[in-house]
Amino acid sequence: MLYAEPIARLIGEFSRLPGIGPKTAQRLALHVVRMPREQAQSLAEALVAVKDRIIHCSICGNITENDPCRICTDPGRDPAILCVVEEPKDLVAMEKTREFRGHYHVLGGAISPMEGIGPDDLRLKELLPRLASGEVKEVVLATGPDVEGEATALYAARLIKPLGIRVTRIAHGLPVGGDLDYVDEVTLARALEGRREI
Amino acid sequence: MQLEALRLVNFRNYSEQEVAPGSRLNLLLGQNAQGKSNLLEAVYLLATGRSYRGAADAEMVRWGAAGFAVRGRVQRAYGEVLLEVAYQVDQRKRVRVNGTDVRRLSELFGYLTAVIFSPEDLQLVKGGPAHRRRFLDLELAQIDPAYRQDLIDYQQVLVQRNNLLREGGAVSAASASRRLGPRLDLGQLEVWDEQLVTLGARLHAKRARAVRALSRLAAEAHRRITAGRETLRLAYLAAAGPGGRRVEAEGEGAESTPEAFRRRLAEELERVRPLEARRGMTLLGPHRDDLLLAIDGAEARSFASQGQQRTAALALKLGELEFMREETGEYPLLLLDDVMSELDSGRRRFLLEAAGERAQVFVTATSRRALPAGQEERAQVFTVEQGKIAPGGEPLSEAGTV
Repeated sequence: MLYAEPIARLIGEFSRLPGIGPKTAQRLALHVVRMPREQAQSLAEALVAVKDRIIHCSICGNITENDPCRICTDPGRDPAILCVVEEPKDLVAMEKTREFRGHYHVLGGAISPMEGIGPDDLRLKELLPRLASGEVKEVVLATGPDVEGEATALYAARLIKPLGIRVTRIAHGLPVGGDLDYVDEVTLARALEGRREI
Repeated sequence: MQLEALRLVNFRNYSEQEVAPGSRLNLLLGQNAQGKSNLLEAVYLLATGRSYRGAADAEMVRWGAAGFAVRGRVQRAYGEVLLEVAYQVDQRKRVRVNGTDVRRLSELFGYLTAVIFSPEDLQLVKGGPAHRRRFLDLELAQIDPAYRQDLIDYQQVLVQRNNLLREGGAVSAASASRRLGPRLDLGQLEVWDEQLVTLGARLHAKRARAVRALSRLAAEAHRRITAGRETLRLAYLAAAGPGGRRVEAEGEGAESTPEAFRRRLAEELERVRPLEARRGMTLLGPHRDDLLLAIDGAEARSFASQGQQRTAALALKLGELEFMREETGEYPLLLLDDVMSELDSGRRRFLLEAAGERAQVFVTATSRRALPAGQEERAQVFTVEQGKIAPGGEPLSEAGTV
């Protein structure tokens, strides 16, 4: 072993993180060695605090410190519209738009037979009871634009439509503020397909 | 269009090489394993981002180097384009157009288009349907980026759907009552079916349209090569019949619109479901289609002689060249890898006269005599030797007429 055991162990831990290769893991570990003790302590505490204090909201499935989460308990939000996303990061992306003022439902992934993920591995069964009261008038399906996201949206739509609730799918769109001739053909072709009347 | 300058760094057996090709016929002379085909591979890489020999990126790195770069300057009717494809070991391939990184490989397509013709292309006539599907896909992807994305999505849907057919899917509470056999969850299958038929119908429409044009153009080339003695016909065969049987996309009973074809595919898919569930695979759709080549009404794959098959492959490639010209308004580059030795002098002459007048052509050969008389004066000659390219031909003693 070229490194002392505690360093080797830290390198091993870092390299298990997504997007971190062996070289980067080594660089991060050696950086920690040079850190003041308080900073390392703070890092370790932050890691454990996430595990201890972050839970999933029992209503929408988003990650939160309090259950129900801040969005689910916000009286200023429109309860008639519900946005379905795959992951918490997608919820954050929607929130950043500051356009959407309804509630969310986080599925925790997308249908993918090759990874063994079926509808029951997602929070779809928790979705239907939320729609039972009749308060929700529209469900916006904002799963990803890949084939797995599309399959998940189609599946959810088939579950929701019999309830008589309006189901919509976010559009494949063009970037705002650019010229058409700078948009790649694939995006433009899909946008053309999803054109609407004005 | 014209490739005006090419620069290779650590690509295959080239360490650093610049080439300034001529505007029409370019002859690359050299013994075997000197790097002639590698040069064509680099040109094709600039056109499609990939090796026409199916090589992985890492395989194209010069031995001992950490990566390669291929750069080209292309003259189009609308102006000049700079293309670059670079690869570093363990990193993603980087593609640049006019100095700007592009996010998707598909954004490279269309600036430089190329048709490659190599001895393996005989498989287009002799080989299985997969060769002909690949031929259509590569041709369409070069001129239609949306086609390429639909194809990628379709293949992903296929992988997912086949997995579901094999594994059956976890029991879903929501659709537990709708199961086919003991395992398969229909509710899940249907969402993949919907994407399969939507993407499948789009691919079908574009392929069928391309084959219509290709049939006309290849038949014309074939008629001229055979001096009108034989007739070549192409037809697109869609695996959309009962049980996945292939049916001609044209003629009687064929669907006139993509929407009609989509409905047909959906209906047949429902019918074939029990069989698919047993076999654990998708039996209908463009991934099982074929392209029929018939000479005087008989299928070329089974009934044509070796010579007839060569002529059909040549006609198909010349048809592709003309098709891409019709679609883009400019002739693509024609890359002829080691095919001169395979063709008799009449076919060689026809090929170079048909293409060499209008398109920029790159021909590899071991001898200048590979060119028919009268063509060599027009050719820009390069000598390829041990990973070095030099303008000019072989020694005078051998060249004779120069």
